[in-house]
Amino acid sequence: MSSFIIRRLGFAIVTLFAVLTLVFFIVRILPGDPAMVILGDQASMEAIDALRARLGLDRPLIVQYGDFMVGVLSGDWGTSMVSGRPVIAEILKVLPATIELTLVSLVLGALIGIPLGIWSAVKRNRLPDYFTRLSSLIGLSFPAFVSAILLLLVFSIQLRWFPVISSGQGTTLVDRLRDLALPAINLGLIMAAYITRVARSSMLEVLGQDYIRTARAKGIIFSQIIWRHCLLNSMIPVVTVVGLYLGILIGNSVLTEIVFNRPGLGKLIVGALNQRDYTMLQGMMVIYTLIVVVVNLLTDLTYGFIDPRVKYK
Amino acid sequence: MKRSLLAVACMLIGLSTTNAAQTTLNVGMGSADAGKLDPHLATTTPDKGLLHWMYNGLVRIKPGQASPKFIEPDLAESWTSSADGLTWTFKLRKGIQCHGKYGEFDAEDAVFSIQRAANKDTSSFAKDFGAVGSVEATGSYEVKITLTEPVPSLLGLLVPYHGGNMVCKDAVEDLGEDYQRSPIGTGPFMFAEYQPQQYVKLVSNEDYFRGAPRIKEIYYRYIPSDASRDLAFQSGEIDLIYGKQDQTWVDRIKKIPNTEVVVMEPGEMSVIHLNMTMPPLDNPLVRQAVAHAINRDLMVQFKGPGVTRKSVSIVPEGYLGYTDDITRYPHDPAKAKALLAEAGFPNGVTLKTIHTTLSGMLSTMEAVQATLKESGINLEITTVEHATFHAQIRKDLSQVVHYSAARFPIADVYLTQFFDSASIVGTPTAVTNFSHCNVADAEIRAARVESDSTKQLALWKTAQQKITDMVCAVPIFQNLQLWAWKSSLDLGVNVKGSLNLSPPVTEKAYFKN
Repeated sequence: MSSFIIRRLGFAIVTLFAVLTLVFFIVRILPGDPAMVILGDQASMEAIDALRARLGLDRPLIVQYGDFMVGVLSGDWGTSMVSGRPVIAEILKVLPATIELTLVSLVLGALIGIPLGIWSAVKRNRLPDYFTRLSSLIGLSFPAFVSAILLLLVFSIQLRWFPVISSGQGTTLVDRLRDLALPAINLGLIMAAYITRVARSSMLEVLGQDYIRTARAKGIIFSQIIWRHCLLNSMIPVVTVVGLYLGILIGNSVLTEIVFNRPGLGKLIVGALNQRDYTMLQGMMVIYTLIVVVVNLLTDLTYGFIDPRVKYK
Repeated sequence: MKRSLLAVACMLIGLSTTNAAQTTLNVGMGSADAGKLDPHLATTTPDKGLLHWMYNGLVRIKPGQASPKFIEPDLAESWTSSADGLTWTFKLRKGIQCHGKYGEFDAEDAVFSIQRAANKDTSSFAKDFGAVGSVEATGSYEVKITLTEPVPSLLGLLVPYHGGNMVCKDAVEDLGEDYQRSPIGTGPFMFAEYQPQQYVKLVSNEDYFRGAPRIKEIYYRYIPSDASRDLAFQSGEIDLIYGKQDQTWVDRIKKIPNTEVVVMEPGEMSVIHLNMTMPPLDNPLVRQAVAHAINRDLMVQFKGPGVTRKSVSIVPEGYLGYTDDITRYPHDPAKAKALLAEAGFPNGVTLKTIHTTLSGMLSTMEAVQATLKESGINLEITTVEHATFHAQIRKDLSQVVHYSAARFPIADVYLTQFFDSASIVGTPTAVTNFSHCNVADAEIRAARVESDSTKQLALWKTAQQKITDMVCAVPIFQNLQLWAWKSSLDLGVNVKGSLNLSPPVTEKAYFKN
């Protein structure tokens, strides 16, 4: 088990290194010069060149790359080219908001998706199944920003239950919940749609297994079969999917954060990209890569707990 | 259990109250975040708009107006200039306080501000101050500016816009690098807090020399999504909203009860620059054909007559020096075709353009494309993201450049930046001359130093005539600035325009009951 974790960690470091190298060069291939974006379209070439020199962008690429790698390894991710503040500080400031949003949506998605998927499988080809399949299909095909605006129209404009813009000043739990509710529901519904489909197909597969037929032949009550024999076994693919779709969730969180005006990694990365804030983009990619690598690692480890057949060597 | 759930629900609903005591102004700006909050570096619309409420200049344009005709005293109470126009002396008001703990604003601060604005390491506008030879304090409240050549629009450089914003020396030196995120000025509102991607909070400057502002707090909120911004205005969470330059926006927002929609000067003018060094545009007949092919009336109809204005000259209407007494190229597809045939292209021509994906600009270019097609001109549009667009047009990669801009409203600025040969892109002194125009250098440069205003106007007119005759560029229309606010908000001035592109929120603004 521990050698497995060590191997996976080594793998994670190699992945991180490769991603960072790619990001460093891709960001610099992007046309558009940070100095020009910062100074605006009326600045003279002289002023732009002066700023480029101050930002260190006039140095050879390989020197910049070396500095960047040494910086990342030593924990110094540099300062944002636009705000002049440490990249780590800016990221850490908004990271909790994104983690909060992602986790709450994930839980919401699982709470809705797993029971619906199971129900759908058990009632296969009957009304509940059709209903569930249709609604999850709608959930999958709906763009996140459209559903976000619909939620705002209904709950903020018509019912006036929640604010359109997250105040960002919420200190009490109630304020924070009001800010979080709509974005979390928006992402949670998308996640629920994915989970429902996987839970359904995985449940159907388990229901078709010989040991289930045996159990039924022995006269065990159907609901007991579901609870005792099917549930845990059908959850393995669901865990995989949750891990994989976390990436999708983070992608959708970009749109959700923008529509609900919620600070977070998504808003930060879009801003950094528009402003060609190289150092900030690099820092963001370190964080995103870390999240994906860690989630994958956790997903693999979770298998062992829910499926005894999985052995780590 | 049921009861406690109900209580929670009531709390959730009950707490959605609006600001009862309206001394807080909530502004919704269409951008993701603040850029630079240092007034000598800030060039974007959202930053300029915000800084506008925090700074003064030595002089200012009367609030609510955008034309230099309305220049009046601000931090300086009076000024004189020498007969040759090379020496200017400003007398400052006494007792003006810098925000926070930074004391009185005096001549030393004014000298520091102008020198800072003229230094390319600390200012994006250094070039505008190129003719400033020396600035000195000739008394505690007196500043003398000596120019190396006459600048007839010198007062225009000293209004609180771009480099004309007066900063407090002690604050700049004390805050160092932090100054660009904690601006200190002398204006009616003071910087209080910045929440990245959320808002900048301002509080009233109770010691403001024109009197304490009636509004006590301003939240300048960054809301990049157009739909969310409009919804927030509709729900009452925002009092003052930055609009999309689009007729449909006006029509939609007007339907919200108790709303004022304001169309403000200056307009951002859409100009199609034609690269005169690239075939087939190196042939003047082809350029004339383009000018005749574009249907400007249709473009105004398309963009919305309430928010746009047809352009005649390559200098926007409303700018000092603008003329409409100039050669016109009326929409005439038959003539355009004939001109193309005469130039040796009986089957039409194909032109290439690199364009930004910004939707407002792109829809304009697509409409231009459609009107050109009738005359046998095929415009191929390659779209790239906005920052890429700016980089590529400056590398001379686009044969046709659509540029939309507002500048300080004096003909000189537009003529110099877009049509003086020194500004041709790709050269060391490049600014934004995309067409490689060089036909009116003599007039543009002579007008810049001409102190006789009648002669100056004549020179500007000749320059506009020459550039129009050669069709270096084809002006399309001006997009005016759109804002809306709740009818309960009274700005205390009649708003016709604002150089800084945001409505003037001064000490006079307040909420009616």
